[in-house]
Amino acid sequence: MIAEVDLETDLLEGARNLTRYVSLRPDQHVLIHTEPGYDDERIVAALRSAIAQIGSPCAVLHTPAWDKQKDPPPPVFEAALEGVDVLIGQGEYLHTKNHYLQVAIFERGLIYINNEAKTVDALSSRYGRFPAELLFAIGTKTIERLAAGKHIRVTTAAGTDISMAVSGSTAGGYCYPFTFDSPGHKKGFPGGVACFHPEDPVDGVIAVQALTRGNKAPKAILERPLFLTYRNHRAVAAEGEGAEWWSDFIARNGADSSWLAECMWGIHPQASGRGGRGASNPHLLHFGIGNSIPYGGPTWAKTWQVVFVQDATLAVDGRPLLDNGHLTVLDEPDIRGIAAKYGDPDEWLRQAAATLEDQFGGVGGERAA
Amino acid sequence: MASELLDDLRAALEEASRTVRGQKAIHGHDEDFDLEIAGRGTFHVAIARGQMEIGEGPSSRREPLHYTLVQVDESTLRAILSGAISPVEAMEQGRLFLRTRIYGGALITILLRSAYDLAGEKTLLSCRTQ
Repeated sequence: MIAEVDLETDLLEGARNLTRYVSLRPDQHVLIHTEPGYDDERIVAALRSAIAQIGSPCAVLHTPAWDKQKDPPPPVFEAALEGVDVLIGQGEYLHTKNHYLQVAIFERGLIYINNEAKTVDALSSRYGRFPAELLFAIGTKTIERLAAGKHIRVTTAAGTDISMAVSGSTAGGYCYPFTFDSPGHKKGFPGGVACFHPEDPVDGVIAVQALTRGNKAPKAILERPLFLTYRNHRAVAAEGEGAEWWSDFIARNGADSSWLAECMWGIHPQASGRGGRGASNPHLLHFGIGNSIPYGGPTWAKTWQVVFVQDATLAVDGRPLLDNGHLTVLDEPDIRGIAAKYGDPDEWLRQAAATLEDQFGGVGGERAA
Repeated sequence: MASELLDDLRAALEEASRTVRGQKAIHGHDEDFDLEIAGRGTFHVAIARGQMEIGEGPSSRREPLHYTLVQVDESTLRAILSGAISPVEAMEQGRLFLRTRIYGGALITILLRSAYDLAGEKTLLSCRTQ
């Protein structure tokens, strides 16, 4: 039972914005999933109201929490997915490598939207209300520049300097009209990340400044970088903080657990870690390492590990797409022109601060502890 | 024979496209697929505006955000079309690869799953009538 609550105008606008990103239709059945700690009734009520305005049938399912990587989901949740077209995950991120979600997405055509605006403040803010037209224009332009290139180089002040090739067909992310992949996909809302699967040759050094806590990683934010040296797509040496853990990790799981599978960075200028996803801000770039099969990549591995760097410069054929953590697409006149349709373009396009501490703290962030 | 495999693939996917799930797929987004069959060449499956076209050779279009390369061998493809292994099972076993953008390419696996289900139903029916 959902309690009666007052809906603030901005909160409802944030919820309506989610339905716009999805291009929700009246014939699509929607399930909102909540769990303890991720069940703010004001957000659920706002989402239900926005979905009702579209005319889509909607149900809400509150389940106990479970370990999304290690444990099976509650049977009622798994069964409920068979009866819906769109799942709005208000709870923790559901790891899509799980078999039941692979089947739901890739065989039944489920659209899984992880609502990354986890708090009332985040959903009501410019982050949650960021116009779909504007985000998709930024994302599409980012992908156009990426897909037109051949050679990518990522550098940071901390010591990252790695080069790789890019194939236009693997350029993507959560940054273009969701209908381009419907049915059968997972996206974050509001999302705002671009990525590609690095192609050979992949050589250089990643100066890891933070890492996700799976795979027995000792800590999230490193005081000194972990330097991973790459040759031919795989790490061949590790030095610095966490090097011992890394060596043990590779020894336990095999060389393909170091396969450089994904390069992803933020394009959403208003993203931060405060109830949203810091990794969607251009200040943060991360590499996905290991099993890329469920994500459109070529190599299977036992594991998946994500490592972060801050304020990267990412050059496409020598031209910066990211310049010390600034997304250069945001400066382009046509993007500013679209932003002006929604108010002061500086207000929409000025990059918020986002740090590794934002990404690894609070609701919506990765767990640092 | 590649032409026999193409005929079988075409027949299976066209039947699959008429199911509820298949209709959902072909009325989704526009996408070009190349099916690279190890040692057998390449077929293309083009889905656009609710229509599907299947033919020999690679797709003439490879537009970013609208293109997926599928890599599979003949035995795995035939196993899917005969209802012996599902597309996701094949992906999880490293026998079917989608080389594409993150979370792209699901239209082809939805259609293959429908073909797998239809084959399973036919097998069950034949058992009942024997």
